[in-house]
Amino acid sequence: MDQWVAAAGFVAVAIIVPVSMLVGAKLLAVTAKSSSKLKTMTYECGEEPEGGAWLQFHPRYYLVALIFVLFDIEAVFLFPWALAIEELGGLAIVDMLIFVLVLLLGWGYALRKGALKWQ
Amino acid sequence: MIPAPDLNLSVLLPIILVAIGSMTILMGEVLLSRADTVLGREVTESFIGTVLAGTAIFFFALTLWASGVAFAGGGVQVFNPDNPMYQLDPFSSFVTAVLALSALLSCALSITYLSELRINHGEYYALIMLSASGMMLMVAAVDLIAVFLGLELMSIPIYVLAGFDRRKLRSNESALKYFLIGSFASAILLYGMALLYGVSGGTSFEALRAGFDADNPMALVGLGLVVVGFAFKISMVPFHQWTPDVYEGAPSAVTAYMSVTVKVAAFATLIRLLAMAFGPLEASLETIFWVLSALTIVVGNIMAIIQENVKRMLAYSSIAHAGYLMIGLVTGTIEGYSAMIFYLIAYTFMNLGAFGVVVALANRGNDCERIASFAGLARTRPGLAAVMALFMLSLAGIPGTAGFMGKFKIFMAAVNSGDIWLLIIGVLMSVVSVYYYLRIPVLMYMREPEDESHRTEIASGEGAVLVVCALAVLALGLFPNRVPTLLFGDLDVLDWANRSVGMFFGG
Amino acid sequence: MLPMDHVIALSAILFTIGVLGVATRRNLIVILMSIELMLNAVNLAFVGFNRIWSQVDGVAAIDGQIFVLMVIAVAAAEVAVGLGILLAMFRNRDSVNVEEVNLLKW
Repeated sequence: MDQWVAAAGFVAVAIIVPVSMLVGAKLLAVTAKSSSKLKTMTYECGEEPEGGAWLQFHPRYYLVALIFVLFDIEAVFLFPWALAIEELGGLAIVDMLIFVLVLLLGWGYALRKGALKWQ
Repeated sequence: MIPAPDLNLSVLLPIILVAIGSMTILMGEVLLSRADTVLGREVTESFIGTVLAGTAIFFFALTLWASGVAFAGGGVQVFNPDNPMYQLDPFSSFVTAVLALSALLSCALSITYLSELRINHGEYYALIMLSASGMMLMVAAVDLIAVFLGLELMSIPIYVLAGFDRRKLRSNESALKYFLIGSFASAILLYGMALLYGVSGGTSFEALRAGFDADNPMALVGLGLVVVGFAFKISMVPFHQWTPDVYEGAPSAVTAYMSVTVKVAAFATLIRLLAMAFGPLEASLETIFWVLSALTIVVGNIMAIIQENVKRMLAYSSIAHAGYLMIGLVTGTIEGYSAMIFYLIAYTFMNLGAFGVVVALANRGNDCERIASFAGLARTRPGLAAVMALFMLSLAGIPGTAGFMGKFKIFMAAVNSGDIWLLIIGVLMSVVSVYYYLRIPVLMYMREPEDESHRTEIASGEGAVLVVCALAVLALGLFPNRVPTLLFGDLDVLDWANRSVGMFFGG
Repeated sequence: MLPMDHVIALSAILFTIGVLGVATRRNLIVILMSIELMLNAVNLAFVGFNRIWSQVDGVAAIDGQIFVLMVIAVAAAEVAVGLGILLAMFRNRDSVNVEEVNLLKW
């Protein structure tokens, strides 16, 4: 039954933390009246927004984001490798070097093509 | 400390060659496009294209040589004996050679076409090589993980290639449709693989065969989903609807490449899966394949009749050919499998040739697609008209051509395993197909030319590919067991096809 | 420990939701998300089955988990290509509605 106790504890913490945060915020926050101009702004924290929110993002943004996702996901292979490297020995290091080399080639291609230039 | 596995890198040699080739091209493109002159020559777009295509052809030729040597040597080698994932055996080396040859021809076909369509980017050849390496991984795979990786490495570059003409909406749509259908199909395939893993406890073909339990519904559902996943790739009816759209929208050179190589790779993998992983189960699968095969033949041929666009017509014809090929799967005998391999080779040459003619007619940024635009071609472009007529006759299966020999072998295999009805459907539908295939020769030879502007001269790359395909179609049709070549003596293609599948039957 | 049936049932339900999403939704981005859902159902099934087969012939086996890593990496590549294709198309026609993808008709 121990794991159920732990699970119940986890659930309890998961409920208590957000509820206490909400209650605390209610008690401490300075609230704007619903009719005030501040209430209708995008951010109620006092920073005044510039322009509309429905602006078009530059395609460059998507390009950089996509390249980030591609390289980021390779950590999926690096992480188990890093955990097991002590037992695997030298060959595994060579293997990973080849893997990273191929990735570097891709990165070099993206760089030279100007995909990462932010302008 | 875990001892290092005893790896056998020569197993992966053909694939490594292609992969290195693709990276070389990618880097070469970046370096060349920044240089002004190389060795005293001015660097223009078409110069870059020719150099990169030459590089691709060089690496494919190396691969062809490496896999040819491996095939001649025979024997079975695995990459990692502790955990076999990839296997170099007569089957994989033979199919790899076929794939390398057809990829090589597609590269030669594309050089002028790409600049004609003003999409002369070097990445094209890198993508072709990447997808070819995926196909080669897939046919060499003896593990579900390896099959999946190969399948995706094959498909993802082809999604991009289909949309390569990115300023044209049709090309965009073609890529999008292929991408949506393709990734949906691979998700289905993956779920099937997950269920099979759940039943047998391993992902290698050996474990699947040992652990498969035909009484377990989960196993049957898993097998069904895997077959459906492949059915999308080889455009089996009722999973074929994407084919004409994608073939029509993609640039013609890409269509030529994908219509041939994807089919070869997917059918070869299916043969290996059925023979190595599900050997004892063929009886229960046979009925399903029987129905699907008959449906595919009928629907493909009937729909091809009403098409007005050459690429759509060829797309439906490729569906029909997938149906004929599946007869070999239904038989499940060594005869049927080797007939399939032979048919795939014949199909490679005749389909690549037919699309090659369409490519050679493309002019000033536009494909020549309407069937009506072939009218009177015999007067304006007699050479092209002659080879196009030959490819159409071969696709229809007229005696004396490779298409006839392939169909004959497949139908013989069907008769010998007692599938008389499939034979009858196949022959009847072949007769129907003569109608739509012969429309093009009739238009070319018996009508006056329309005033549509085709390209008036043929590029050397295209010419070479068309000549090679035409000669191969004739040679395979007239003497399939001793194809004469000047350099290598006579080639016994039928015997090769037999030897390549013989390993599944203990040969 | 959770009963295995529940894990498999959950993955089957997720997979079905994904299939229905692909079949019924009209927004291309949502279709892409549905395909991702299907892939994640596959991952769940693999990890779940790996619990059953955590020992094969007395040796620890992690085939299913390895498969999941491969699926994750490939899915990322697939989505990157898919979004690239969508972007190219959006530049040409300003819409991501699948019903407007209709130049090519069967």
